[in-house]
Amino acid sequence: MLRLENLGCALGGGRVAALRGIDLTVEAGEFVFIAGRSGSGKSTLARCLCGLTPRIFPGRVSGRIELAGTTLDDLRPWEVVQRVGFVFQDPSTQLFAETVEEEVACGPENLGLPPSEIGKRLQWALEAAGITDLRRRRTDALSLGERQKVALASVLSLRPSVLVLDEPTSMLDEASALAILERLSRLAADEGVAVIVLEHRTRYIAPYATRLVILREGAIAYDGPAEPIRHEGFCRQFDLRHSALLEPGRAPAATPCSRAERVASAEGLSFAYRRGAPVFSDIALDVCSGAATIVSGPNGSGKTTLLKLFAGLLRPTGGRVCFSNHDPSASRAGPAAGIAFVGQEPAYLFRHRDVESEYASWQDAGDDGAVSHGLLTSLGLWDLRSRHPLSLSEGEKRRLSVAAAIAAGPRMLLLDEPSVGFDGYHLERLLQVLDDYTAKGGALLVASNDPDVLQQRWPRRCDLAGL
Amino acid sequence: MTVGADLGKTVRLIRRLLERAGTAASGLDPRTKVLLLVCISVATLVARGWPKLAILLALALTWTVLASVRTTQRRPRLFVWAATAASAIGLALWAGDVPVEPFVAPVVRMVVLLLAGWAFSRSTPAGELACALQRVRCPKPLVLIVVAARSLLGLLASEVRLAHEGMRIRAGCLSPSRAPWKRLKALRRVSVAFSARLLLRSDQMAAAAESRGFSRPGARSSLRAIRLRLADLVTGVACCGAAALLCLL
Repeated sequence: MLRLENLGCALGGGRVAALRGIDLTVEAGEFVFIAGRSGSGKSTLARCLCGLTPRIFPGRVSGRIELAGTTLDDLRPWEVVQRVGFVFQDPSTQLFAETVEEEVACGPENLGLPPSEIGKRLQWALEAAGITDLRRRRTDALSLGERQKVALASVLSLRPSVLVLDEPTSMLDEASALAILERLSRLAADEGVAVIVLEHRTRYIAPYATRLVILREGAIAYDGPAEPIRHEGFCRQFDLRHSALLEPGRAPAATPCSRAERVASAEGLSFAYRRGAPVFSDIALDVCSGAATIVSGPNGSGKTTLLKLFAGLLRPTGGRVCFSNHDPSASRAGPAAGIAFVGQEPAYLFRHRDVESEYASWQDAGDDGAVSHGLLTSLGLWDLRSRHPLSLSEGEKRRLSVAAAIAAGPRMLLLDEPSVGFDGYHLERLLQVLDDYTAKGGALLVASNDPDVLQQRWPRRCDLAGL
Repeated sequence: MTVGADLGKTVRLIRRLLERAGTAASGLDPRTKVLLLVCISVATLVARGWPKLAILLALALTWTVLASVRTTQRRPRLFVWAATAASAIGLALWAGDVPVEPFVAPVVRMVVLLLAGWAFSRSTPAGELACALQRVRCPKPLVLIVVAARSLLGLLASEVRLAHEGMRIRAGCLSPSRAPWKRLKALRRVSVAFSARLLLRSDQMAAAAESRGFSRPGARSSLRAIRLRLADLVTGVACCGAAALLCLL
């Protein structure tokens, strides 16, 4: 079905060897889980498999990629998409149409299929991605998790024989993630589609994958059955996520927040976007100094909206958010000083040419002009200090934005899905850094669907499900 | 109490009628809507004098109202309110016998064109429009531009919003300098970062387009079956006739 022979890829004008000597054969009906540390070359491999590197993304590709006996170089782009479907890491850049229905039908329309066939594929793809209820919705009104499902449906509608998915569950809640993986698994078993999933959330994938491939520094470090991923030692060896690695113990009971400890609070908080139904209503939540609060809930339940309200980026339609006896939503000048917010698109916080100066710009230099680089080292960014922030992988961008936000010394830190793109090693470091932040008296509010974050012993919870 | 109840009933009735008319208007064939847009645009650019401009303004406003009542928005858009305010000012100027040319008429023309453009884009999905353009044998690149244009505009708007959010977040964490040269330097940094980000986005969009088969030569097909009905014929003839009268008389 798919064969890679001595595949190599050099990025940055040939300076960085992102892939080295990859030999891989994937048969029809296989469910291959590709794992590895952040920056190990997973996304580059996915782009090479679809021919997007070097056609769109710069890079020097060597070796041979064969699809059902035909070399990739001999296929034209629209012939490749009928064989290999690719779901990108960031779904926002993958959607073109105004409504979900048009979006999913867009690919088959481009292929010139008859309307009856487009209709059948549309229905099938919507069901396969579990989004039949979103069919008439506008794509710009969807949450990132919902967009991720739409992106998957739009690729499924092309009926490729090889499906490559770059972190398809990174923004999904547990129920949606498991449902998607279940359907992908059936697709592989029943219809012989070769499914290749690049992921960090090992606990979701482990029951479905028939084969595991681990990349390390651009080369294959392991290729075999997926069973070992259940063992802690194996995961630790390759810096993968494992529930035991991140299980810190039983969460202590939440204690009420005293007035002195309360950094921010929401009272009777309600919000509705201009063209939509209320996102949530009558929410009461205290964010306390020296404690972390987790906001959880299914996709589209309003986690991001709640964080933006706390950051003063949105105005509530009812109730109020108070920050240290000040009402940020009443201020037009911007968020109240002392709040740092790292959203799902952290790249927009970056202004500088390299990681080191970007990080330094977020903190006040000491009397001698010295800047501490402690967090860069803790989060594994010191070796990347001369890279442009926008050239980093998604996980590295998030690490940099969290490090920069903490370096600014805010009283309250708001993080929206901070663990997307994090491997086990870096997630462990991130959680340690966040624990240190709260231990020093910082107030932390985290919105996440990631089970590895949700299982932390942070006692304060706000579940938006059913609100 | 009875007067209030009667008023409420009347408002509901008017709203229901408007919604029905709006649904009928947006159900027209996209080719008819293109014809309507072209007729209004040409007549607006050619028409001279208050009565003709007022007729065109009324026509564009009606279309805008019909397009906006059909959509499920809870509150009217700022744009509709602004256009209504501009129309009211225009009517006041007319009533006050203010000379039309050379200052007032261009503003009215611009309002009419904006209203008609908004109503058209609001009531015509890109997919339907692309299908209609294919039916009239438009070249494929033009059809693809139509499909991608709205998405690109939406993406640009979302990028601007995110950049603005990024600036507000940074301002919330850091104390921005008040010195003018430092502000200029910061503005330059923001512009460079924004441009770099747009370039990155354009690469990602190109990749997404390619992975959906946009580059395939030959005709696109369409999920939607569009066809001309009697209502299209009547509307087409009426708008062509009205435009001709406004231009020639």
